Amino acid sequence: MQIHVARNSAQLGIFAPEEIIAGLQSGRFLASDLAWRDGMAVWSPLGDWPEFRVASVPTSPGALLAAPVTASMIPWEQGKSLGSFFATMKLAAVSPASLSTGRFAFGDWLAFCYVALAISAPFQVVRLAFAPDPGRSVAEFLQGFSSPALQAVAEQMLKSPPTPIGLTIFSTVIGLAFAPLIYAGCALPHWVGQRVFRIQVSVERTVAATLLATGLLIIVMAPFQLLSFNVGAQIVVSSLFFIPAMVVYFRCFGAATGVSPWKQFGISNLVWFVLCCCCCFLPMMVAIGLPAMKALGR
Amino acid sequence: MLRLIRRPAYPGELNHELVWPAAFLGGAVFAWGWFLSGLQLPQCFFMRLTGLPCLGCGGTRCARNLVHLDFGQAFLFHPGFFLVVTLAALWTIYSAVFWIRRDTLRLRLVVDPAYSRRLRIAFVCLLVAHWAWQCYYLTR
Repeated sequence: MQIHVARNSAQLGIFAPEEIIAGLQSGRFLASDLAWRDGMAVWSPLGDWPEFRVASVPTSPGALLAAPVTASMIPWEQGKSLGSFFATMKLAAVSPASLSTGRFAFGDWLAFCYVALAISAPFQVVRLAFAPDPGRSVAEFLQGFSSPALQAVAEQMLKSPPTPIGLTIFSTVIGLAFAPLIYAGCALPHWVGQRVFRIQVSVERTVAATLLATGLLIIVMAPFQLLSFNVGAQIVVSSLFFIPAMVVYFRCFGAATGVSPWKQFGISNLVWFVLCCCCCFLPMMVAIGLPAMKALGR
Repeated sequence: MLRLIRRPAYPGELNHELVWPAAFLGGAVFAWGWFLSGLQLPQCFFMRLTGLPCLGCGGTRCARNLVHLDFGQAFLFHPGFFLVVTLAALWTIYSAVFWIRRDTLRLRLVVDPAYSRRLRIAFVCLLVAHWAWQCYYLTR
């Protein structure tokens, strides 16, 4: 009978009992991997299965000590090259569970994010060629709607002077140069959110996991820049890809931090909701409240 | 080769019974709003360059016919999109039943590893056949 095996929120596949015994002995499977077969109500660790108990116990205490416990399976951590970059991309997209074996040193993943941005740079060039002034493209898109409010916004945008091309190129280059550091900075509030929920993941791992998942998204979403000749098409296609992109992002992020993707998704939403409240609503309340209090004082 | 099984979800497994129905219903509402606004999609870039339809061409016309419940015409415009929407609708109905019944076993498609290569080749062949149909039907 075939046995389904899963590890860290990802299914490893379906295997015959003989394959699992061999896998437990070779280290391909762990005793903590969850398994299920027809007729069972829940998934249970392979180590709890009577037929695999013998196989999952090391032959000697020495064998356990000699086993490479922290060997990373992530190609980018084994060596930096374009090949290992794309192999990591594939691994993150297809088998995110393998990311749990990573060391996640900050420097490694900062470099990874820069490589992702460098690969996406030609797409940025195409975007600049098609739409050197994004504000104008958005205004033209808004003109397509029949709503008078949107028409007014579009007219306002079209009246404003166009951004000089030099400034657009400069801001794009500076954006690319600092983007990974900004992404790393964005990971810090998320780490605080994890701490609030008593999830013990180090700052470095949280930041590195963010850079990995963001690097993957940069590559996946880069071709959409080719649609910049039409903002409408870009918005529609990006919207369609939004949910799958979020799924891929949080599966990677969850596996890399060793936390359920759903928990990370919830924390992320909560953190950004709180930040938006602090950044937008609080100053707005102060801006409205102070003149009102002064008026009352008079 | 391909079979459906019912099994419990493993910890951390993507909730397919929640995500895809939400995506399908969200997409349906978006399409409805889009067609209501009277907006047109821009002409396909690939079509403009080559004169041939891309794999997505006909999808909007298919969706428009689906909204008007003209299933035959919808199928002719884009059989692939029609199939995806039909399967998504069926999955949404199944998911609704799953949540109402508070079921613990989830329906999953299992691919026999021995046939996975053949299935991939069949899928690519199907895409080529689909594109050939689009080239015929959309450029008549």
